[in-house]
Amino acid sequence: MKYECLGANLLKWCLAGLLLLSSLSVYSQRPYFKKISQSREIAATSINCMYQDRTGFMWFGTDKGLFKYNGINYQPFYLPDSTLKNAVTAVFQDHKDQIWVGYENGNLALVRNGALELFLPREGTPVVPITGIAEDSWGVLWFSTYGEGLYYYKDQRLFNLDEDDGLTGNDIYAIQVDHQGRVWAGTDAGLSICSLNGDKYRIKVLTTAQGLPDNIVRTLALGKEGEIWIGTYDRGVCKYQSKLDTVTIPPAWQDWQFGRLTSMQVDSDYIWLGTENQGILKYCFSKGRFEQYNAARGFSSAKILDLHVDHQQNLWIARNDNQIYWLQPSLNFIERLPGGIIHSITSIAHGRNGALWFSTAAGLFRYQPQSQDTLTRHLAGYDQVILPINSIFEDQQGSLWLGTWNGVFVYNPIDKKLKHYTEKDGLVNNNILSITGWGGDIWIATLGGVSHYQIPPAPKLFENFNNEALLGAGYIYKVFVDSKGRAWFATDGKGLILREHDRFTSFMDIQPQESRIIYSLTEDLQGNIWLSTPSNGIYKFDGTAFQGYSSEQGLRDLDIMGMAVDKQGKLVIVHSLGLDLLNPQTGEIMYFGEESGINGIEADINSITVDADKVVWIGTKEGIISFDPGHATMEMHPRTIIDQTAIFLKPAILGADSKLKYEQNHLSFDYVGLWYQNPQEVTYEYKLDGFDLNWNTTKSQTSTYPRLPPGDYTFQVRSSINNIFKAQDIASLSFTIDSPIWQKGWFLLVSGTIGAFLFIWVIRYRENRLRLAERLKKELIQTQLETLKSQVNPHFLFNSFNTLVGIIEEDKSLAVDYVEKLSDFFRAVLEYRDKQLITVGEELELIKNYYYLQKKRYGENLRIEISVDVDSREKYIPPLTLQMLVENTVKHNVASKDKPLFIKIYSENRYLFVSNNKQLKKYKQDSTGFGLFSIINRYKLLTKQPVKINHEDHHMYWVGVPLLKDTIL
Amino acid sequence: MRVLILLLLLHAFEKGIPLHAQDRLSCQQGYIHFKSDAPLEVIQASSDKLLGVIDVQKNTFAYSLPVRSFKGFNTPLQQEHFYENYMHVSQYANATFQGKIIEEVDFSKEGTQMVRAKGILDIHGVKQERIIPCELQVFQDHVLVKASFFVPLKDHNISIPKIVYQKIAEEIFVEIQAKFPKNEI
Repeated sequence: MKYECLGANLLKWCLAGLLLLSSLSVYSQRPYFKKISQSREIAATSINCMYQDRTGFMWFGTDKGLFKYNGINYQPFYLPDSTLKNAVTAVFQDHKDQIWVGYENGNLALVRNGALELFLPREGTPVVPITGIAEDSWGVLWFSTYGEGLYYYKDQRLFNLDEDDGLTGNDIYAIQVDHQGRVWAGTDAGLSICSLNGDKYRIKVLTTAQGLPDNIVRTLALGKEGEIWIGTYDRGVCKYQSKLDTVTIPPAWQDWQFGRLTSMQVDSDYIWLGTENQGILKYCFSKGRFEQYNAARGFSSAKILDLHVDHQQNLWIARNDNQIYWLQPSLNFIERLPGGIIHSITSIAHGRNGALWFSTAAGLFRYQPQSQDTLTRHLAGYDQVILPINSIFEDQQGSLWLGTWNGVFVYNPIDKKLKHYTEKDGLVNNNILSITGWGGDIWIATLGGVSHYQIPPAPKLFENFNNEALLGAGYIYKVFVDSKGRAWFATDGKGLILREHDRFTSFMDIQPQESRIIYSLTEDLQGNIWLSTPSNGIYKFDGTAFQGYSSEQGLRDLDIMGMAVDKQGKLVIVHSLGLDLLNPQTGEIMYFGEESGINGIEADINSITVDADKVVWIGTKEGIISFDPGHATMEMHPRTIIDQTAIFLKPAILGADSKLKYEQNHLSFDYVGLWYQNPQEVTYEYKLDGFDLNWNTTKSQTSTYPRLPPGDYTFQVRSSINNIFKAQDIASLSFTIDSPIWQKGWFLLVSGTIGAFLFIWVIRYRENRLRLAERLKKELIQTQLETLKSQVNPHFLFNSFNTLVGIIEEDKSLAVDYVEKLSDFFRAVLEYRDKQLITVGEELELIKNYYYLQKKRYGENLRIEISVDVDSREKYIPPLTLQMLVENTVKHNVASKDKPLFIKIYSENRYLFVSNNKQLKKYKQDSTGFGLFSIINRYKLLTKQPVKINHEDHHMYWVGVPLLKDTIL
Repeated sequence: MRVLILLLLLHAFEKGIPLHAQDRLSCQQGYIHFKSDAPLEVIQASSDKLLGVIDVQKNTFAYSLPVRSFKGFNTPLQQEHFYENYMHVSQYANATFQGKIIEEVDFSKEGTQMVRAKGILDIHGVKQERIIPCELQVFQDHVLVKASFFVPLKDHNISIPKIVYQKIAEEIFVEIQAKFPKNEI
């Protein structure tokens, strides 16, 4: 029993599995949902809201705080007070570019200088969740809450509007400002449209009575024509046009069956809707219909918490499984369709009414993307005959031209008739390479020339151009008819051939060798012809010259299968790695590859087509890729932003033309090239003007300059996705590092002047001293000479010897003593004469010897009294000064028994005096008078203190010399 | 806290504290039934201990249910698992739902009205805001409330061991039927 039960259950499972598989196979076109990788801080956190600021950064409001995302890093922003809850429920940027943040607990905060700051109005903040923030045309900020109605901040005051003021409800789900500046609030009981007029407010109510499908309004959006789109709880979407003051439900939205809505975004091409359990809905304005992405169509049905369309019209999706997804609506993939899995497409062509024809190894198919999404099989019974088809063309009558290796088949899908044309019917060659046409002309390119067919057919069905007619180029890949009706032939090795007015022109003389094998041709909106080569890139021909685009110009891959021009006039280049998008006017190239969901392309050269709506369709081994940029602003390069600056690794705001001190010279710059499509691909070039000579290339988002010398700098950075850097993408920041004070002009001038003065002073001082020393030396020599002269004065010697003769007879020992003293005296004179200064003590010793010698001669007639204090004895005087003075005294005065000569040597007031009683000799001994004169002169050089001489007194004569310090010289 | 107030409120009813009969309707023995339709097993249980009160003037309501009153499981062991392992009744004894009726209701007019009840659904200690469509049948002497809705286990932090996920549905189907007698004065 039990086993049976299990068996039955297993069967049920298998059936369920089969059902699941079959339901999986019904999804048709879908974009690539890229999962955004998350950092540790943001992972496993509910993403409550998403917002893109004007710079381009994405802001995520989560249960764990606010995060700023640049494609790679999530920068967290937490409230300054760690006790406050960080659950963010709303983010908004006002017209002053300030970021406002609303919290689940009613707190409001602002991002200022890179940090969150609580907003604390006098009136206090709400205590219920903030569900939205908006700013009206007059700069009044509005906050919607869940439980307390609306708040608005005007003239520094926070006002509240709730049910008591006429609001339809206090639980507000959504807030939106319309073109008239009115604030729309969605509640449980309808819409409240609020407008302020001075201090008065007006509330207009919109409910089911006015045509809303449901009173519970969950989400609001502003349309491109100023209409308001209203998403209700579970009864779908409607739109309100203020001109008509009516609520309408567009046909596609009637009979709502997608359950509960959570969020809505409207741009110029699409309306995106997030649901609680039906995934995501895309409404395309141009097609007027829905597409749904849910579990059955390639995307989980997890509850959508928020949707956000960014500046490039890409969609961000926050789900309640804490994941963030991102998609590019311009790229869509068809792998499976009701009716079959598509693979290995050999050729593709667009037909009338938006139909798409393609061929695979399994046959010929028709697919109508606009309506049924179903695949229909054609010519099923003729597979053996017609396959493989290598080119398809639908003519103006709706007949299908199929190119094969065995001629052309013409198929009329309406009457199902099939015709076969071969060389027998006049076709130039049976090996068809491509079929194109323009108006009534059909061009068939073959291995052996081109056949031209006209509707209605001429008697001779085909007009043929063979090798000869085609200037030797019989091997033709493609014929392309341009907007002027001229036919261009893509040849194998013979370059481009133009047929105009029945004449063929070759460009071999100007066409580069590398561009002569041509796989595909197209024309841009400026009328230039573009050609693709198998391995040498693409070339632009403007009628006069060929310009090549290759890897150096930014092409991702040179294995090019074909080209097409999209809705915005850009060149779509299909290659084995994906798509390159080239702006023909700027030459800029961007790339869609793996990160956009393209895992390599294997395609045949006739499997690219552009339909009447300018949607590019590419048939590949894996299925069909469609490319339609819509009205989105396709930025071709990352947006470069200098995000943060730091001084010594501490964040510092460097405004334009900041002035920094000389010691603030360690600078870091954080920059980013916003490129959400493939953030890892971005490379940077930066240069610090004033420091770097060349651009530095890096993958890093930071560059640091330690120890910058003072100067004027401009930091410049640019980013690229293909290492092609354009001048217009530069973000720059100028600043100045100030010189230190000692390098400033005025300081240099002042200190230079002071220095010069000092220098001059030193030079002068030195010069003076040298001069002084020289003069002293001269004086010294004079003195020495004089002293010697005086010492060898014959009188002195004669007198001394006479005295000595007298003593020898009387007292021998005294004589010896006398001679010794005499000798001591002369030795001292000899010793001292070279010196500039000697101590008073030394001089006095000399005087004592002199006195001894003279005493023997004069006896009691001469008396010398010395009273010099100890301090003074240690002072200095020029040598032999006293000796000279004493000698002078003895020389000029009488010293007799009647008139004894008293000489007194004493110190007084830092002077040393030699005085004597004045009793001049009657006759003068011959004297140069040099002695005293020399003393005065020498003292003049040594000190400012004068030598004092007493001339006036008739009884006393004295000379005073200053006592000197040794350090005088 | 809210549960406490609610219980006090209900208690007040039982004790017959005079309230204006016209203001409030109460239900003492409402019926509730749940069904877990998992691939390997269908589990269902029901209770008639659902308490409810509707404030006719304010258009608000409150329901409370002792989780332990659910009966009718496939096995007694299953019932114990339900109480202790999944619902943790010793910790979270009651499940409540209280809030307001979005649409205006005329309780004096006989007939059937479809309304939506928006409120906080508190199961397993986890509160979730829900909008639940209800069918309101007004009779001369009573009001009958019928509603059915799904409760995703994940929403209420009710974790099911990996090995048993095939026996318990991710979303539990719940239906209620509550009769609110009109008190005659």
